Amino acid sequence: MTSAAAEQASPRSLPQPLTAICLGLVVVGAAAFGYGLTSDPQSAWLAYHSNFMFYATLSQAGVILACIFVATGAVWPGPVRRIAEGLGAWIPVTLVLAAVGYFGGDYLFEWKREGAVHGKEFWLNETRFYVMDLGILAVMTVLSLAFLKASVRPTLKAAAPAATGFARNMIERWTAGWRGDEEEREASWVRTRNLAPLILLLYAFGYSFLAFDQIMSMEQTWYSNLFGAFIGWGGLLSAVAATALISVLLRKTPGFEDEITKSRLHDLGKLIFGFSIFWMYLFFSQYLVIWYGNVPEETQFLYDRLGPQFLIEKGFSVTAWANAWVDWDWSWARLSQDYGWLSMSVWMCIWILPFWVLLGEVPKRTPWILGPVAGIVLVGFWLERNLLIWPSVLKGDGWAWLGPVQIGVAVGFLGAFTLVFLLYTRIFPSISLPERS
Amino acid sequence: MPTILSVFERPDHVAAAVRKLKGRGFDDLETYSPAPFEEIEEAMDNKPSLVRLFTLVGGLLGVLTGFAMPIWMSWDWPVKIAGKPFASIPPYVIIGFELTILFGGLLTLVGLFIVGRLAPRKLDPGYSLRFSAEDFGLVVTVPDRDVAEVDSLMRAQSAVEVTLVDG
Repeated sequence: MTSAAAEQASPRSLPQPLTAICLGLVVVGAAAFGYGLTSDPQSAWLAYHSNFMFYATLSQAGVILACIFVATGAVWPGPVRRIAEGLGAWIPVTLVLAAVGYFGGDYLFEWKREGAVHGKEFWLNETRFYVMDLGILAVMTVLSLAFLKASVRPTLKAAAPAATGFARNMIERWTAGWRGDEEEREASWVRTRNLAPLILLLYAFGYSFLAFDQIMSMEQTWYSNLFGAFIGWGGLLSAVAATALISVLLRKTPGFEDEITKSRLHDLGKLIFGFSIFWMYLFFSQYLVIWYGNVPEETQFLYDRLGPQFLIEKGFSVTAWANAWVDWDWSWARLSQDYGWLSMSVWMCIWILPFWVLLGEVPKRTPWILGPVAGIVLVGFWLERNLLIWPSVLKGDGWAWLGPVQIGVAVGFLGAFTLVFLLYTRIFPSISLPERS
Repeated sequence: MPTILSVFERPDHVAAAVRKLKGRGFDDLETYSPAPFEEIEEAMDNKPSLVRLFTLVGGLLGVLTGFAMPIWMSWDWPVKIAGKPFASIPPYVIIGFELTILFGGLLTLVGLFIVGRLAPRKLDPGYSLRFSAEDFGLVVTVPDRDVAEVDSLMRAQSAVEVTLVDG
């Protein structure tokens, strides 16, 4: 890859209308959150927490995707790896947001407000919770930034002359002690190759604990060993979907035309398809034992979300299914209880729709099909994070997650995340790769 | 019609030669390579293989068996488990899922054997053992008047040797 192509794809100025819109969204979000704190602090903090978890897993999993590419020696992604890495620019923000979340802890966690249930005091207490979770996030931030730095360094020298201001200072500092293109590529390869497996392992363990603490402990009497894997896997799928969506959006940007090829989109589509099946597989393997066991301690979590529809005993017998087609009404009525419709939307967005649409080869290779499907998967995960968080606190109120403050906080997060992504991809070259020649 | 065999040393040369021949309208092509190469497959642009029909039939048979068998068994020998109905759907989803994959996989193998003719009656005239070792072969059948043209065309596409194998 010539440096000229890298320059073209990395214009040093931010795309103007988009940046202004993002800044506007951030202002709207901050205002909505501030207003929410005075009017309905619980909803404001629940919305904050849902969005925090969505973008935390999404951004960390972006780096995880890049680490998987490096650890497996994958060459098919090409500059798609840079897009996945760009998602990781949000990781330091996650750490800050997690620390800010301390102030909303009383609204989110029953154990923090009223004390842990008997037998869980050792685990569910403020000191253990915040030291461990912030520690995990801090370690992940340091390692992820080290990975990103090692990964972009070989491409920086060629980009330096075109850089201005802050970017130029940063690039000059980061490329100090340049040893020549070949040596830098080799060094980058060795360093990323060493860091990748470490980050992958820490994601599996660290984000499992984060999922247990930040989401599962909200319903403190419920537990599931699979929950960490479910959240971590959801993060990875949302990162793949975000990468696919951004690839589709960037496919006509100068420099990217020959890089975002149909076969690369095909591969991303295959990943979304397979990962989505595995997401449902993880859910089902947990759901089945809870359904069969039918112990209140275990069913409570599913009952709050799916409603009684998927837990009753008669609903799944063959005759009951046959009756359901005759007497259609009973199922819809039960779905309207609790968070039933939100749960159905999540299944629709993350599993049913990607499965049937991306089943064939042609839809995976068609940008205007793959892009919207990836976008719907992302919306599905945003809904899923809400679905996992809201019913733990506001039981039975199926539409509590939707409201002006909630939407304001959501667009604020969206604007901030897009802004951070834009800044990162404009400072660092997003096309040329430290490939081993 | 005469059949011409060209030998290549690199897969991208084969792919380029295939494209060239197809561009001239010679469609009666066959390639041999020691391993599957994406670029050759893309250039050949073959019709989808029949094997996938076997997979589809196997998968559908599997999901049918996976639900029908346990439902029949549960009704034939009713045992109440965990207060659930005798035949309930969720646990049988797993059996249906696994048998879809098992039957689909097995029938794919059978389909491979049938479609790929596991025991060929005789080898293609253009094939030789070196195409299973390190060389790439491209066989094309052309009308008599085009032999000289294809010969020079293949040499221009960096074929290391071009021979007439038939006719």
